[in-house]
Amino acid sequence: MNPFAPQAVNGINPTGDADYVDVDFTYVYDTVPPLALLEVRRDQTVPLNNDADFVLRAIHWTQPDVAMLGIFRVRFSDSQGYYLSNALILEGNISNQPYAPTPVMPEIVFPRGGAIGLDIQNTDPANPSLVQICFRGVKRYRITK
Amino acid sequence: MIRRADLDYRTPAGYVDDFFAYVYDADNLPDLGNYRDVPVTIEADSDFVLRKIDGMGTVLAAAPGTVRAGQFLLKDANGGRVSESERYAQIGPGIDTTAIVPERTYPRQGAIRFDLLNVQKQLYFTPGPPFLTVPAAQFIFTGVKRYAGSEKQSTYKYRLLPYSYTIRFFIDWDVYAYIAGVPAGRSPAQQFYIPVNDLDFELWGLVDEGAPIGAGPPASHAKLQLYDSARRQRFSNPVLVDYFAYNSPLSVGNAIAPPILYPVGSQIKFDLYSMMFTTEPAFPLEREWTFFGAQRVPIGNGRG
Repeated sequence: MNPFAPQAVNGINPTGDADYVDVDFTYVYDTVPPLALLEVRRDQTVPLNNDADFVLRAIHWTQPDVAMLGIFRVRFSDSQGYYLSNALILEGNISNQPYAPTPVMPEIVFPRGGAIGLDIQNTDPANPSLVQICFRGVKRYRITK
Repeated sequence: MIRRADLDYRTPAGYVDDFFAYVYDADNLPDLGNYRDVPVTIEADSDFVLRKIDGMGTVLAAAPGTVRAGQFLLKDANGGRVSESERYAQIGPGIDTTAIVPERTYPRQGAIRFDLLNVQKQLYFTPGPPFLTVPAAQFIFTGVKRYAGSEKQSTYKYRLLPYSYTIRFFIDWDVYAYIAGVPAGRSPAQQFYIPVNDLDFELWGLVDEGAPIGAGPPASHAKLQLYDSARRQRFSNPVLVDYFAYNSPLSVGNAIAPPILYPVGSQIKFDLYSMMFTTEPAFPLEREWTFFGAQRVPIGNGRG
């Protein structure tokens, strides 16, 4: 063990039920087409695959186009439609750094075939907004015995 | 309460892990292209356990002023996608270091495959005529090589004592070798040795400092190949120093895990490949490197 190394580099022991195996996975949401000036999109969904439940553990975002840097707000919901915040959260309050994403604690389990929900709003009156949000976590596969 | 020992990683029984990084040099990828299923072949001696990826911004469009960032998509050992769509690189000074949690195993002789969209390599260049460039574009896949076998136990009881080996040197050779003023290929590496002459030493990482001290590392001024005490390479290709140095401003989490053990009497050997031009104002560049870690100090009856 190297005390200078982050836990991920030292290695993290497998967790969870022995009947399951967790595999690193990321679901991605892109605002395509880009959000127009002051546009609001409600009830957006990120559909989940049917092969495994998804355990959401962290979120980060980026704006990949320097011509579309409109400031945005976003609110997430779980697979039952329960919001995870009382209002839309300003982009600066969620990490835009992949090396230090905003943790989702405790983790949220989304059933296979479900969806991650979100509302997103471009609050910028002058610039469109192209946003990519990465939902980092694991796919949880059942081990057939 | 969670105890420290509960967090310590337990390598599966019957295996031994060695720190290793597969380094993909994108020097020969033409810019502005899209590339699918780019392979990095896993060597035949062991499986590879991937824990961290770096360097996205050096290969993909990401520099300030870039209109649209490039995108990256990692594949698993079977070629399956590990995200639903391609992830964008960060534009500007963002750090693209990405942890892979849980770790992902690639079997020996398999390949780490990935897609690249909108390649735009990072280039270093001369500040004036003759306007030469050299690509500095790499993906660094950090993790461990997992060998069948059992951990060699120390033959003596010890405690760890923080310890460092420091070396000061100049990078005083050009990235290119020239014939009649025209680049005729990359300059060869220069080799450095640090004798481990006191006690067994665990290497945990490298701090790269320069003159003036405190200036920190400039954008990777060199590539490094590190060897263990058995002279085995710990990178598949020489790595840009900024993606290995602990104090790098461009990547995070750079440390050697598990540590590399250098027994007393062995040497920390490394090769340096210059990434500088003699026409740069900073040339020749003085560096001071600190290889930090811990000595194994015998306790009790000492050795044996």
